[in-house]
Amino acid sequence: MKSLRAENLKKYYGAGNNLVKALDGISFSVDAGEFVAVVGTSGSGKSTLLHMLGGLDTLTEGKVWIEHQDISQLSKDELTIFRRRKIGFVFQSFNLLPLQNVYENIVLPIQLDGQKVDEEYIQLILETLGLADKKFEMPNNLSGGQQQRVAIARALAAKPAIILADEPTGNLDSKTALDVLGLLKFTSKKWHQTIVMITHNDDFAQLADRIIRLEDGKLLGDD
Amino acid sequence: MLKVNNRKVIKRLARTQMKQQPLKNRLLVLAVALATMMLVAVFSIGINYYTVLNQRNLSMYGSDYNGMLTGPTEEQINVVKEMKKVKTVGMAVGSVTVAEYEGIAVGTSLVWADENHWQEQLQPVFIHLVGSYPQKKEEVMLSEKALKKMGVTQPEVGMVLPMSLAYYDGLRDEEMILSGYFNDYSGKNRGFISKTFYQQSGIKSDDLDRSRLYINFSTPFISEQEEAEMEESLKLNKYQHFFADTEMGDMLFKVAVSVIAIAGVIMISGYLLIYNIVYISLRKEVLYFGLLKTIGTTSRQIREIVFRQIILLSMIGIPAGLILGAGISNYLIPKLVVTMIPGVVSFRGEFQPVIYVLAGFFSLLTIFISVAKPAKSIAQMSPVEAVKQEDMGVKQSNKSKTGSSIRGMAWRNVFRNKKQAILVFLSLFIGMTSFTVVSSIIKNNNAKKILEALEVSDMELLNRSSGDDNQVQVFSKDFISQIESIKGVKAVHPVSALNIDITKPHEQFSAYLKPEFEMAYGVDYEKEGRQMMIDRPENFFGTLVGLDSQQFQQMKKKFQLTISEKEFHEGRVGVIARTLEHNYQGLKALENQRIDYRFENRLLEINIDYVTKPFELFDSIQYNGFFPEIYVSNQYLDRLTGSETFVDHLVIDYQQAYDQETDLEILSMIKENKHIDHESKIERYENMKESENQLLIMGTVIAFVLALLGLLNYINVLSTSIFSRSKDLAVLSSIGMTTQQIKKMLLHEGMIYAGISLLFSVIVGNSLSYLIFSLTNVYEITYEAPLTMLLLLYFFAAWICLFLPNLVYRFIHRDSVVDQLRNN
Repeated sequence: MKSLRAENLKKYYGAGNNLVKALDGISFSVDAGEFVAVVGTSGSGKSTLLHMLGGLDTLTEGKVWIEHQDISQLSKDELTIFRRRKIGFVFQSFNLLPLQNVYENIVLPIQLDGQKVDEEYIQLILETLGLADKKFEMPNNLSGGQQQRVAIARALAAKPAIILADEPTGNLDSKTALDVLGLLKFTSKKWHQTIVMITHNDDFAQLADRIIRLEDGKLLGDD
Repeated sequence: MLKVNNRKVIKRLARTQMKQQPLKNRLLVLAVALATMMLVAVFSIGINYYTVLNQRNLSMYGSDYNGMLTGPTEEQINVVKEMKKVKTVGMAVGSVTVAEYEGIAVGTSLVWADENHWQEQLQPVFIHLVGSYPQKKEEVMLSEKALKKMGVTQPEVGMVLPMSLAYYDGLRDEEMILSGYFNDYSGKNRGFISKTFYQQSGIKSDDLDRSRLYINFSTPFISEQEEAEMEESLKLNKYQHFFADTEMGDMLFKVAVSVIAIAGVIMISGYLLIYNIVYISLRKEVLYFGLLKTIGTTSRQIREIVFRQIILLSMIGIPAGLILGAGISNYLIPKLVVTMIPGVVSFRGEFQPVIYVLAGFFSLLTIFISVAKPAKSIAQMSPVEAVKQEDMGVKQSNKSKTGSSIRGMAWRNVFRNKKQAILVFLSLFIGMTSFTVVSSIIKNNNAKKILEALEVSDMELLNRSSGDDNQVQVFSKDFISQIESIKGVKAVHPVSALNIDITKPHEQFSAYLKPEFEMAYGVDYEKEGRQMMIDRPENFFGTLVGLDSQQFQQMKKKFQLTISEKEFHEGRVGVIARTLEHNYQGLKALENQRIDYRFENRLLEINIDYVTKPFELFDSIQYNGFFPEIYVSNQYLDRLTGSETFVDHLVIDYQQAYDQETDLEILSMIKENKHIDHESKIERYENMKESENQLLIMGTVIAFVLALLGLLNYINVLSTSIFSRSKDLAVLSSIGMTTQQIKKMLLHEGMIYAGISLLFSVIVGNSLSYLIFSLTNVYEITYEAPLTMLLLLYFFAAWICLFLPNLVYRFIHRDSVVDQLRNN
């Protein structure tokens, strides 16, 4: 089964001489349980691609299916609800809520959806990610690596169809970065979780099942 | 150390940075201008308000003085003039009374006022004055009230008024010429005559009963001890009376305390507004200053950059505020007053330079204090810290296992930055509390309440022939039931009067007679008075005044009487009324004593239950007998006379106070009857209303300005806080919080702000209002909260609190989530 399908994605900014083609006709798909890395240089369109896949921004042209849903058909609020049920995000700058503790940050998407929290599953995630003893800490008291692990836990919590990770190791030192990546890979295997990760580091990309290369908004290769 | 010339660079840095932030600059100039403007407006309105309030109070008393001496001798006048604290003395002598005009009984006392009394003590309290003070013997000046009583509704200077004047030795008909007329809030029936007239009238300037020396002190602070010393130095004779207002200073002090308290509140609000804007805008620039530091700018230089910018902005903001404030207080408000109140031709918005100096100084001071702290903390921050600076989260761990409800998140958001939360609460609280205080001052100083406190009845109809030899019974039972049948009339209370002979005056009234003869006739009771009573017994009568049951009940309650209504109706007990200082002690001895009297050859007796204190009872019949009035019941008088007793006046209560229609109906009913005079509360109120409206407008403006300051503070702090949280909101949106849910959370935040500040404002604001009210309550009015105004405010404040967060969010929300995340 395909978790994600992108068809002829285009995102243009400006017009005339100033026209910038951030994405220029990109198509690919991701199978369920696959761990895909998107690599490219700075300005190649990686982040834009991820935002389009997650419905955080609107496309100039093209379509994105997550599982069987064409997300371009959804209204803003429908998209938000779809996002919290089907997509997990991991950002470079962690983006944890500073006033909520670790546990609250993790379960928030589930609670926003009005669902009951699967405590066992959350506990499992916490233990898997080495956060069990940090459950009630505030984000400000955690190291960068710990914060990113909380972000991954939050992305996993709602059992989404896909996790989109935007340079998840960008703010981490190389040792911590490898730890975090290892965890991502491990969770992908353990829970058969589809993950699309953006990185500019080829070494990190090697940990993925598959690498997609972008250059100037175009797909260079898919291996 | 060598001085490095880096002024130019600093100047350029300050200017470049300013140029890049036009929005912040405009906001700051606006805040400074607004705060300055409000200070100017509030100060000058406050001063005007106080002046008008004071003027009204003076007018109600009829002249402006704070000390008085009855029947002063030449010597005493000189002593008073020599007193250290005396500023002005003015003399007034009541020379004659207008008894009748074209067959209408009038009873207007005509007074000669010397130049000081006229110019310093009387003129300031007149609302308007046409013509001039009488110069020739035949000239007279009358109050509009007096003219109305004579039936002259359209007076003209120079008109001839043939009147019957009552001199101390008898009546004389004379033709007088109206030299002028005036109106004041006292609504007194009075007039003035020339010095020539007074000199020829034969009244001496030391006449105990008719002559008064009015004194103005140079200071309002006269202690009771000083009053006693003055009294001693005057060597008063037994019946002279000296009075100095020893409470004025105390009252002024209380008023000053209230004014300072209000001014203080305004200052704090202004300070908060400027401080908030500066603090928030500087915090946003931390990164920029951090960068400057990393390239070697010193703390001192950074502070200089900050101050330079602020001074530049103040140089625009403060003058703009001063000009705006001057415009509002000297142009807009006077114009508003003139347009809204038809009778007022001009309104004096007094120009007080000190207000502008003060307001400007305060704004500048506020700005410096507001800037000093954030500037210092930024200057002292290490460069690394500054570059990394972000809106700090919470460090303390939180044991919540239940996760976050939207309500809980809202609560935490409100208190995320405690200092900011306190500022918001404080701004709202101060704004609303000040509004509460000011609007309660307006509410409780209103003319209606004052009239209520003075126990002025809705309408009184007076029989002009009362006290004459040929009294005409105009208020017959028929007439009364006609009045009662008018729709808006609740009750009519006839007050009847019956003259009686006191049969054992020398035994029963011995303590009363001596001082009374000295005061009324200036003779010794033993030597001449006793003989006078024997020679002309018709001049020495007493009066029984009849009340109805309801009036009796009111009196019983007021004086806490123990007598029963039955005893009262049977004429077995009575109450002595309308006593004066000089005779009170003599009459007080009559309590629980029997008085014998005669009516039409019948010998009767009555027990006195209570003697009212001087001025305890304002309302009585229109004429005086030699003996004091004794209050009994109408029923008893009717039984005594065997018919309808003469009714002196009617006290009419309306279903609804100030019922114009009922008033007009009664007036049209008595229009043709020249024996009936009237005193309408509505007319008196209309008279006071002019100043009332001035007070209302100015007070309302102050109240709104104060509330606005608080709300502006709230709007400013809250919108900045939401803008600074836009990243969090974007994160929430990215992990799946719908717009609906975010709005709900913001609504909850608004509810928390509204709830807490309203709670405090309601409690503290109303207690404080009551406290200030009690400190300044001159008329002993009962306190009343300005409910409508308060509800409006609470509603408005709650509305802003609830909807502002969402309104601000709408602005942020226009960007896509990615843009919001990226912008941060």
